[in-house]
Amino acid sequence: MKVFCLYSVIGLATIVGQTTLLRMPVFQGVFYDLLIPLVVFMRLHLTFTEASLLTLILGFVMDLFSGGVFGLYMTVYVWIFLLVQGVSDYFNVRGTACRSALIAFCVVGQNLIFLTSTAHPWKGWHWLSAQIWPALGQIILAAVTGPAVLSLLETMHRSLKAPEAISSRGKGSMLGNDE
Amino acid sequence: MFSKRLLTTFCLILFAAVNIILLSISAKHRQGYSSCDRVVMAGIAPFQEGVTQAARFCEHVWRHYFSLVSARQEADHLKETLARIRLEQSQHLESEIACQRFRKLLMLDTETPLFQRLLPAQIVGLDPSIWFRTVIINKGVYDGVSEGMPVIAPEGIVGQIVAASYRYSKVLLVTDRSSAIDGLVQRTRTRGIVEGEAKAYCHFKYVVRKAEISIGDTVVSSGLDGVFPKGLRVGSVMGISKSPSGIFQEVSIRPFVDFERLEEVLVIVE
Repeated sequence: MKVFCLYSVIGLATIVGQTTLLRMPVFQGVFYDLLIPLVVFMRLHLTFTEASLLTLILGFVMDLFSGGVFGLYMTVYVWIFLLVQGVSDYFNVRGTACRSALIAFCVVGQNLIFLTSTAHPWKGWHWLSAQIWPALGQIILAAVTGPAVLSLLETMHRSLKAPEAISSRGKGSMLGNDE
Repeated sequence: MFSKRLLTTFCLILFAAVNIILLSISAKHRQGYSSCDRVVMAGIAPFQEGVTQAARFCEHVWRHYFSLVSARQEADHLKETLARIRLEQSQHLESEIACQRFRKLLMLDTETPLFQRLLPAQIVGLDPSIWFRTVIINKGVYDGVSEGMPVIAPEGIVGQIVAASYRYSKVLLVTDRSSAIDGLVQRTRTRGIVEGEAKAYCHFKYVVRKAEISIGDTVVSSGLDGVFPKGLRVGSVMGISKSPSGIFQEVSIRPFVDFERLEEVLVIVE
């Protein structure tokens, strides 16, 4: 429950941050969706129930603040949630380069889903040129900073888990189970 | 009977199909905020408002106390602008008097104001994606805002309300690709549809080839779409291209409103 609440707060704070500060003109719209590394992290480190519930909640809230079709963000996060474990196991994602590729791939996927939802082929594609560069900027930024965000979350998760491990070991020793 | 891999692939395809169907249903039927959405908005949007106001305060401090270097230049520039505006104002006053005279002659009602009530609101949040153009404002159902109401700024049209919660509302900007306004060129009265196109500009569509339009012409709302009152400024013509074939010309418009720096808006509530 503690973990669930903590990641809910982190997720909601991220949503508030990226709908206010990160959309300021100074960032030129190149900041990618920071909930993507969070969803990836949650899938890899939290229990299935916790991670799936948090993914749905965060997707729902993002959909409320977004101007797209309701359910688009939820779709993106759920697909990341479904595929990331398999991809991670299959390619043995451990190093920085692999993590960077994983986050960048997720951002590409998100942009493709959004592009599909906004595209009207009968209206032409000339509008796309204005969107290509910010999207490319997002993908590069995700590849560069994604592993750092994941590492930060892992450090935080370890520090959260450490006191629990110590307390459980303490309880074990009190019961005489500790070697 | 079936291998695990085949079963997984089948499940993923099935999930994708269900996902697409649900999104289609959502796109077609879901409009505005439900009660549950409103509760969630009421819980999160105040934090957005707080962060936005804190950021604006910092920006304000920076602009007013640390960036005084260019203040003198700006003051000179503003004085020039003010002088020009005063001249324009006197011309407008003359036009207004003439207009009132003609209205009296035609026995039209001069007492009806253009807008019964304008509700000022602050932008507290922006769309998190680069693909959609919406903003969240700090006025909602409690303040008399409802879906479909036009939103303007002193410079021109901003957009319209697409969803309203108790205290906050979502505004679809004119630059969003799903936005459309019935407009006309102020000088020649040529009609067309202003559609959102990309970050900085809109398209003025369905303008016949023979219509006379020049770069710099002002496009205003025609009032025929039933959302925006007639005569609200939308933007100025920034590009015209006529293809060798086809009955329409391609016109692009730069909106008068600077959406990157927009902070306050007015909702036309009546």
